[in-house]
This record gives sequence, C-alpha cells and structure tokens, in this order.
Amino acid sequence: MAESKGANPGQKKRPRSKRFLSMSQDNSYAHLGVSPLASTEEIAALISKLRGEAMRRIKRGAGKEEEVLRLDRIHEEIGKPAARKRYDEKHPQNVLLTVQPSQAEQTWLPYRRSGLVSEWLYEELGVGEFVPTPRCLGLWAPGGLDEELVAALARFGAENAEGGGADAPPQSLPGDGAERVLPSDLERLLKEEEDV
Amino acid sequence: MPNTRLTDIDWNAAVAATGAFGGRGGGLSPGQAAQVLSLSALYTSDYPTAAARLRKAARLEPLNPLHMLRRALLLARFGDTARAFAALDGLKQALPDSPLVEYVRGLLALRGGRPEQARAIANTLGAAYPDFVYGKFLRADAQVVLASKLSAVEKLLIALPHGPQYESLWADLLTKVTLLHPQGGPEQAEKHLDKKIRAGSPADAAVRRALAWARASAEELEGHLERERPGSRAEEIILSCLFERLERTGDNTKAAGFIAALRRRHPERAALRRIQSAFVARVAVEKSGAGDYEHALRLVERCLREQPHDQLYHQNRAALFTLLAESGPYFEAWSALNRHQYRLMLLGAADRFTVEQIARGHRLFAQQAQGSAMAGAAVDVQRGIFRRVPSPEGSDLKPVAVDRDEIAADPELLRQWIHHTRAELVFRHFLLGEDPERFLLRPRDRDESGARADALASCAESLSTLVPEEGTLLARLLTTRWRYAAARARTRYAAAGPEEDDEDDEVTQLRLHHLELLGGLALFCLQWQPGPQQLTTAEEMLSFVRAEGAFFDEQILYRVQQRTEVETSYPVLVLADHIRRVTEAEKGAALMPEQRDAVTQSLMADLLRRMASSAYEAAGASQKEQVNRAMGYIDRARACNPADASVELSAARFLVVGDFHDEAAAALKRFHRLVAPDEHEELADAEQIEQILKERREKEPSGTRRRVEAAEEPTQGESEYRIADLERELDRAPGSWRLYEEMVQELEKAGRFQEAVDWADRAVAHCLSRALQMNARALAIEARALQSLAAEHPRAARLYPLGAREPARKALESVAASRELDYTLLFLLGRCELAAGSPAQAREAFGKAAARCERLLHRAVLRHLTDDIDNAYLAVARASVNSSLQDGSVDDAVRAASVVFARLQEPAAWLVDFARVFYSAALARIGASQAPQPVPRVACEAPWQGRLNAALSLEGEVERALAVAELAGELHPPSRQQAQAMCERIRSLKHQFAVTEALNAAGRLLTERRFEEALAMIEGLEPSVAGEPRFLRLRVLALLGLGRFDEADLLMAGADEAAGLRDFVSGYPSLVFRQRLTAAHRFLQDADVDGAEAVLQGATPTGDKEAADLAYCRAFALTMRSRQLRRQRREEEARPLILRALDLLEPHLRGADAGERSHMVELYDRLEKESEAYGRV
Repeated sequence: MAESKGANPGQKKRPRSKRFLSMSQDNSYAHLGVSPLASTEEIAALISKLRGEAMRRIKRGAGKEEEVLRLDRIHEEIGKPAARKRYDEKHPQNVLLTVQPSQAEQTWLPYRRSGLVSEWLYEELGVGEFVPTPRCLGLWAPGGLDEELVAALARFGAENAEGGGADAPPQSLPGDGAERVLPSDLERLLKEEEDV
Repeated sequence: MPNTRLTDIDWNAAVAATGAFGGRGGGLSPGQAAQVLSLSALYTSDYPTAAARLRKAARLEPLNPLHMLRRALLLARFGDTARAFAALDGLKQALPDSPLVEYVRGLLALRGGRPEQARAIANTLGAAYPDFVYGKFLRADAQVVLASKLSAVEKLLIALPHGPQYESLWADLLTKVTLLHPQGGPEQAEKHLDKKIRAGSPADAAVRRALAWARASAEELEGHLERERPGSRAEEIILSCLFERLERTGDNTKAAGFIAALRRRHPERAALRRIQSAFVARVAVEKSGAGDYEHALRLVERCLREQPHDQLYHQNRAALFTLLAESGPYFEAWSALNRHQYRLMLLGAADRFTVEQIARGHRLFAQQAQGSAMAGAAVDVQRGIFRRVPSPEGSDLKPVAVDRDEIAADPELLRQWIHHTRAELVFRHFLLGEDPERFLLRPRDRDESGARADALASCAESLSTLVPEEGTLLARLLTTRWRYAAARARTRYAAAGPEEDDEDDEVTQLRLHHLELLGGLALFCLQWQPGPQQLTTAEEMLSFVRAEGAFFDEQILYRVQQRTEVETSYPVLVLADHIRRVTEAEKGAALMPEQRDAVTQSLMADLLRRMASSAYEAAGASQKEQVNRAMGYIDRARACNPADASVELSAARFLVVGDFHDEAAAALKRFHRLVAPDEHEELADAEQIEQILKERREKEPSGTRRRVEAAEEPTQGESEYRIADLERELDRAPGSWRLYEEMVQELEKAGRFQEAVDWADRAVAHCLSRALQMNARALAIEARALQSLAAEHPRAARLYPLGAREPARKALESVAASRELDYTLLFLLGRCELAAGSPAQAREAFGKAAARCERLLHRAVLRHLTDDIDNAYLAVARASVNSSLQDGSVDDAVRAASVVFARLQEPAAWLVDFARVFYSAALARIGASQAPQPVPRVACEAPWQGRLNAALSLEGEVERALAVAELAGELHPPSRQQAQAMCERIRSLKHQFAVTEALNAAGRLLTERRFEEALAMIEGLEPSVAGEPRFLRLRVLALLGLGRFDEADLLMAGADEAAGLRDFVSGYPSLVFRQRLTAAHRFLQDADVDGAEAVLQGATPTGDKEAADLAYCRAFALTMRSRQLRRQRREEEARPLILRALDLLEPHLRGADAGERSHMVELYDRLEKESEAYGRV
C-alpha cells in the first residue's frame, strides 16, 4: 500500500463550513403541515381527513386527482410507524432540528411503568413471591433450591459471619522488646520463680 | 419456592468458600460451588463481579443451562435487555422445549419496549404449553401495556387461574391495570381484587395502595408522596401518576409551576427535578413551535442546568441555535452535543437510542454537505459538494458531478462530508452488535474481516477530528472491540446470498449505503481536481477511499443493477463502469480479492495524479523543488496502480520540466508499454513531450537525477503544539478567560499577531461577566498594539508576551518620536509604565489613549484604567510579588511589596496584599531553618505609617501578617471583607502551628516510651489545641503503653471516625488485642500467671491468626499454672488444666503453618505427653 502519509496535524480539527444547517421545507411533514412531533396516529388521521375532503371535491368536480395521489404518497412515507421510522432515518433534519420533549418522558411510557410496578411489587411482597421481573428468585432458581445447598449456605448467614478483621495497619506503639513466651521457656521460668 | 433467607447470606464469604477466587475452600462440592457462584450474582450490586461469578460457574458446570439463563437475567437486571435477549436466543437453541426460556424472552421483550413481540411469544407459549400458567399472565401483561380499550384486557383476565399461589401475579396485573389505565382501570381492578386475592394479604394491601394513588388528585398525591422514602420505587410510581395527572390538564406552564412549588416544599426529593424539567421542556417545544426561539432557548438552557446528562436538551440547544442562525454558538452547540454523546458512550450508555441519535446527527451534517443532487432532486434545492448536470438528450440518466466551485468557495464543506459520513458509518456499524458476521457485513474470510475492522478503525479516526479528546478515546475503544471480534470471524465458503439479506434488513441497508458511498468517492477520484490548498483534504479523501474499498462487494452491486423497482444511482453506474474497465470482468462474475483491491487502488491513483498537478502549482520554491513534490504524489500513484499509462504520462511531463531526462525517458517508455492504441489524445501528448525532451537533451545532454527526499513533515515548535492544545481546550470551554489569555500570548510569541487579534476578539464575544469582559477587551487592545508594533519592531513585539516590557517601551518611545501613537500603542505604553512601577505615567498614557480611541468597547476599558489607575497597578504589583513568591524568593517578595505603598494614590489598598505576602512567607518557611529577615521601613505619606511600622517590627511572620491584616480591615473599607478572611486564615495557621508543635512533642515522648510524660503533656494542653482529634489517638496509645486498657477502650468508645482517625478507629480492635497479648507475654515472662490471665480476659481477637495467638497464650498460662500446682503436689487440680490447655490449642493446629505456629505444636506435644503421664490416651 502506497498510502501512508498522515494528514497535517493542524487540519485535524472539526470542519467548520461556512454553511448553516437549514430545515428544508421539501419534506412530508411540511407538505402535510404537521409537526414532526405529532404521533403517527394523529398524522394518519389527518391524512385520512384531508383525503376524504379531496375525494369529495373531486366528486363535485372541484378537485384534482393529484391531490389524492400526493396524500397517498405522504401516507406511504409517514402514515405508518415502520415507514415513518425509515423516513425519519433518511431525513434526520425533521427529528434533529425540531425541539424535542425531555428524554425523561421515556420513563413514563406504559412498558416502562409496567416494569416499574413489577419491581415495586417484588420489594413489597417479599423476594419469595413470583413476580415477573428479572430479579425474581423464582426465575433464578425455577426448580427451587437444593436442600443441601441451602444447608451449606446457612453457615454464611449474617449471624454466622466472621468478623473479617481490618486489614488497615493500626497506628501503633513502638515495640517494648517483650517477646512471646515459648514452650522451651517453661522450665526456665518455673525455675526462676522457684528461686524467687 | 426457595425461602427468603438468601438475602441474609454473606455471599462474599460464601463465594470465598468456593475457592473460586483464591478463597480457602470451604468443603463445598463442585456442583454446590457453581450454584453458590451463579446464585450470588443475584445478590451482587456490582455488575462486573456478578458477571465474573457467572462465568466461573459456567466453567465449573459447562453443561448446566441454568447459568446461561441466569446470565441473561443478570443482563436484564442491569438494563441490557438487547444482550440478554441475544443470550436467550442462544439458550433457546440448547433447550428448544423449555417454556421457561420462551417465557423469559417474552418478559424481556416486554421490558425492552416490544409488547407486540411479548404478546406473540406468549401466544406461542399458550399454544405449545397450555398448562404453563406464567405464559398466560405474560399475555395479559403485554395486553395491559398495549391495550387502548380495557375490554381486550378483561377477556384475558377472566381466563386466568387464581388461588393463593397466583396472588402475586394477580397483584402485579391488577396494579398495572389500575395505574396504566387510570380511566376505568381502578374500577376493573377492584372488581377482580376481592375474588382473586385474599383480603388482608400483602398482595391485597399493595393493590389497594395503587388504587389510592390512581384515584388521588395532583394535590392529594403530595400526601401520598410524603409517606414514601425519597428515591424509592413507590415514590417513582407516585410521580408517574402525578405526571399523568398534570399532563391531562394540558397546561404545561402551570404543571411546571406546580412541580416547582412541590420541589420547594420537598427539596429532598431529587426525582421531582426530572419531572419539572420534562414540563419545562414541553413549554420550550411550545415556544419553539410558535417561533419564539429565544424564549425556548432560555428554557432549554434551564433544563440543561438541571439535567445536564439528558442528550435531548443538548440537541434542542443546538437546534435552537441553528434556528436562530447564531453562527458561533451554532457551531459550538453541535460540537458540544457530539462531545456529550461520546462521553455517554464512554461511560457505557451505548443504548440503541443514544447511538441512533449520534448516527442521525452525523448523517444530517453529511447530507447537508452532500447537497440535494444525490438525493435525486430534480433541481439542486440545496447545493453541496455534488451538483446535478443536464442529462444527455434522450437519456433517462440523472448525472451528477463534483461541484468544484462550491468546494473551492467552502473547502470545509468537503471535510464536513468526509468526517461526518465516516462517523455515521462508525455508529451504524456499532448498532449491528458484536457478531462479526453482522457488523463486518458478512466478510468472506478472516483477511477480509481484518481489513474491514481496519477500515472501521480508519473511519473512527474521524471521531477524534470531530471531538478531539473524547473522540480519540471512543475510537480507541471501538477499534479494540472490532479488532478483537474480527479475529473470531469464520470463513464462509459461499458469498452471502439474497435470502440472507432478506433476513437481515439492517445489514443489507448498510451494504447498500457502502456501495453508494463508494460510488460518490469514485466520482471524486475521477473528477475532482483539488486546489493547491486542499491537498490535506485530498489526503483525508484518500484515506476514506481506502477504508471504503474494504467494504466493496461486487455481489451487492450486481443485485442493485438487477433491481427494477428502484433506479440505480448515477455514482453507482460510474463505479460499475470503472470496475468493468479495471477488472475486465463480465457482469455478474465474482471478483478475486486482488481485483477488488485493484478497483480502489486505481481510483486512488487517479486522485493522486491530480494531486501531483496541484502540488506542482502550490509550491513556491524552485522549479526542481516543485517537480520533486509533484513526483512524490506520482510515485504514490504508481505504487497504487503500476499499470496506469496516464500516471506515466504525467510523470514524464513533470520529469521533463525538471530536467530529469533519463527518468523522463523511462516514464515515456513505460507509458508506451501500457497505453491502449486507441488513446489518441494521450499518444499525441506523449509525442509532444518526447519532442521537448529531445530538445532539452540537445541543450543539456546529461540532465540531472531526481533527489529522493524524505517525507516532508511539518515542523512544529513547542508553542505550536500548545496552540493546538489550547484550541482544543477552548473548543470544550469556550467561556474560559484563562485559556483565551494564554492562547493570545502563545500566538504573539509565535509571531502570529493577526490570529492573536482574532482570538482576543473571540474572548470578547465569549467572556461575558463584567470583570472578564473588561479583561477581554484589554487583551484585544493589547493584541492590536503588538500587531502594530511588530510591523516596525518585531523583536520587541515578540518579547513583550514573554514578560520583557522594557524593549517594548523603548520601541514605543522611538515610534513616538517619529509619529503620534494611536490608542492601542498608547495603551501598550501604559502597560509598560505600570510594569516599570510608574503608575502616574501609565495613567497619563491611558488618558491619552482614551481621548484618541473611537471604538466604544475599547474606550470603556481605557477610561476605566484612567479613572482607577491604582487598581491596574495593584494587579501588576500583585503579579510581580506572586512571581517572587513562586520562585521561593520570600525576602525579595517582601522588599518588592514594601515599595508599592509609595506609588499608590490610596496606599491603604495595598495593606491586605502586604499581609498576604507575610502569610505566604510564613507558609514558605514551614520546615525551613532560615529565620525571617527584618522588614525594611515602609515609606508612605499616610497617617497610619507609624502603626504599620510597629506591626512590621513584631517577631515572626505570622504575627506581622495578622497585625497588617487587622490594620487593612480597619483602614481600607473596600478591603474589609478580604482582610477579615485573611485574619481568619492567619489565626487558623497559628492554631495549626501550635497543634503541630504539640503533636510532634507528644509523638517524640511516645516513641521514647515515656508514656506517663506524654499523657501529662496532652492533658496539660490548651482546650482549643487538645480538642484536635489526633490527640485522642496519642492519648489512647499512651494509655495502651501504660497497660490501662479499659481506660483506652472507654476513650475509643466515644471516638467517631473523624478525618484522620478513620484508619486508627478501624484498626483499634486489632491494636488493643496485640497490646494485651504483648502485656500477657510480659507477665508470663515474669511468671505472673494471674496478671497474664487478667489482661487476656478482655482480649478479643479480630481474625484467625489472632484467635490462635490468644489460644496459645492462654494455654501457656494454664500450663504454667498446672506446673505450679504439680510442684505443690496438687495433681488432681493440675490435670484438668492440662486438658483445658489441649482443648484450647487443638482447633488451631490444623491450620497451623509448620513454620509460623511451630511453638503451638510444640506446646501441644508437651501437654499431650504430660496428659499421657496422667494416663490419658
């Protein structure tokens, strides 16, 4: 490979084009006159309403078929959740250049609240109860626990826990030269005592 | 169901007993050890620990699927439902008939926000395992989340079984019905409650609490909130009810106000902040929708202050600056958004939402740079790096071309496209997960995997370009991950077929995207002529082409060409044509790896050839130099595509110009060998070059040989690197005055005065507080002055930022002799006068500058300086004194400070600084043997001069500092607050000196084992000194040294873990035990068994070893006593003592290390023999 020259370090900074990002009005939301924050149900309902009106106008001879086709095209792009997701991915300006509500609102989506309820109940009812949460002991030990294992674990219960012992070296006193008495000292000590 | 005592287990001890992590081994069977390890993960709050234990368990029992299930549950417990789901998919293959695995999959789908999938899984479970009750509850659970009407839920509830064993599941469902459907849900839940759950049971109580919350008004919910612990899940549920209640009112402003009032009443509830910000953000959405962007921006800034981690607030801020068309803040806000997002990823928040948002942001910038031509727009709605060109008559083609004009007008636009496109690719690949099959887009073999991982690593370099530090770190992290995964890729023996693509749309879409990109890059390589200033951008382009080459796959191209429903884009057609020319392969034929490589290499060679022309034009050196530089690119092009005749023709052209006759002739020879016979134009060119070469050879037969130069690297001084650093730092902290000041100085030192002026102006735009604004404006005037001075006196201008003012002053004087100084130079002169200690002259210069200045912003600074020259001089004097103090020249600092008084209009303003000098001097002399010097007499015309000199005659710098600070507080009201603070600091320092002295003295006595004296000394200290917690430690140590253990224990009983004592308090039990043991041994050495036993009575061991030592000491005491009794012929009394001693020792013998506890074994042997002598076996 012939290419190896690195770019000039001075160039390695974020590109700063003279041009601003701008919201192109050539997009389905703008054509429909709806906010990108509207729900897909709202968008579908609006398209349906406008389409009905356009059809009525056509029947009266006052409308054009192109209007219905235009609405159908918009519906194909943003009238269904999956299609809209694809459209938004392809045209990120609609999402990024619109002021969005807080991410915290995700917390109150139904599925999140459902999970929260299960977690709360698991605490309220006690860990022995079966509640649909990934913390549920019933899922961790679906067949129950082996009695021998429970017995083996019993000795690690809080009441049997060892002191542990502090590892931190105590700030202590200097040694006084006192030595540990050894079995070999026994006779000597007794003799000294006797002498005394 | 397992009992609940598992929560009381000391799981760390249990895991240690398994011996798995270096524990001792505790008699657990391997199966039990695996179970303990894997189950302990449920009770561990630290994810890495839990995951490690599960891995270990799986290694111990590789065939037990329970550990895999637990791993999935653990991942879900920590919120990684995507990986949990993937783990279950693996398990599903191992256990296809287990309803539990499917159930957990369904549960995780529901928790992961895919209730439809959960419902489908539950339906399948219901059909396959009609008796599996949990599946039925899951079905109802999913329906509660999905349902808009409760009747759909009711049908499922009726069909569910009930009984005591299902009460918890019923409570779960009914609570969800109640809270998720506040309209009608409570009534429906109540209808089932009495029938399905026993009254008075915990489940009944829980559902009733939820019913109360669901029916409460917003005001009543406050009462419920007060009954719950802050941060609890119950609090969170009540807040979700409150959110729903307030949301229903439809008035977001009122809702935000309600929560704000609630926050004031409940400041301890941090969760309220989030809910308030959510409503404030909604108001911002409303304001923005109404076009009131400024108001919306203020609200978003407020949200950002409250919830700085929420990336949507950063995004909203960037969007609003875009809508406001504020160029500087716009650029910085988008940059800040990327930085925040990268930080989130570095912190592990790499969830799908976050990563998709990041990819979207980069895509937006890439699309903007690309323009609308590539999107298939009929006309160029938005111009970019590509432009539409008219279609040939009668053709359906929609040709596009590189828009050279647009790129020349805005070269950064192209860089924007390159880096944001590459960054988007990085995150789109990241979203495909860790399976190399997916994220490397089905590579054929390991070589291709490696090349693609390298290509991704190359793309990731753009992250560090876009966000310097965080981008670099993230790129490193991702690169490691990709390379590791790539090494695990398998070789496939057939190319990925369309059916595989149908299965994985995400992978297919990315493969198509790569193809389109390579098409766009091909257009660049074949059409773009970079300008001489764009060679570095062209290098970035080359790097991009090389990376994209790794993803080139002809199969996807053929598939695109076969599509009838979508038109093939023009760039892809261009690429296809290029491939055909380079490889000469038939359409649909599989390419060899070498052929694929040749496609990208030939594209690169084309671009390098054009770069050579630009390099030739750019060079401002001699012709030979120009040719040498151009040939550098030609040589690289040759290496890329040795069979390219055009490259040889270009080479010949340059070589002839450079008089490199032999090489030119060789290039022409190669050209003729490679060129196709129908390339008439090139052949004609070659003929012309040959003619010129012939003429030149006649003039100068020998010619010259080309000098092979080392690659030219830009040379950068230390200052340049610092400037680059500062630029990055300022990118991150655009309001930092200190950084601007340093940046301007660095640029001035480097002689880059215009840039210094630009940066100083940026400081004016960003440093908005009053004080900083004045500083920034002064910096802007100074930068302009130096730029102006540099034109005539460059040396003086470059020395000024280094601190040398005198050359600048002289230069200014010489300029003034020939012409009138403008206001910037007068300002600079004023600055020089201040530095020289002449504030009066400085004032005169600033006054003249103010009179001549016409710029309002600058005149305000000059007037301020003229009106308050003392303040300006004080700043200079302070800097000078600080500089001496930092150098350690304390006496110089004192001398310099002494002369300042005489130069001030109001000398009392300097007093507090003067006190600070003595304070700093006192600090500097701690531990130094050097005594303070006498202070020179201060001369100033003030009535308090005598008092000042009296203060200075005091002994010791602390005393002097205090006296001067007190004087400052009394004589200069503006300094009073500062003086008081200084007095407090000095008094605190005095106190610290006293404490340190006493601690040292007591410590010395303890070291010398003079415990009585140490104790007496501590007890005799002043209460303010003796109250210092460290004396407690010394007192306790003295008591221990004296053997007064009970008194020491009493003192320690009242000790808290104050700062500095934490280690001592925690280590005290062990310390006192060892002291007691030492004392006992001392008694035994004196044969005082009673004394030893008395001391040991209160001894409590803190570990195994200490327990063994205690047992030994007690056994020794018993042995001595038994010997004493035997000596007194009291055998009957002596014998039980021996047996007791044996019992004491026995438990510790097993663990006794042969070397460490040999004394214990020896004593035991002796005792055993004695015991035998008594007839015991």
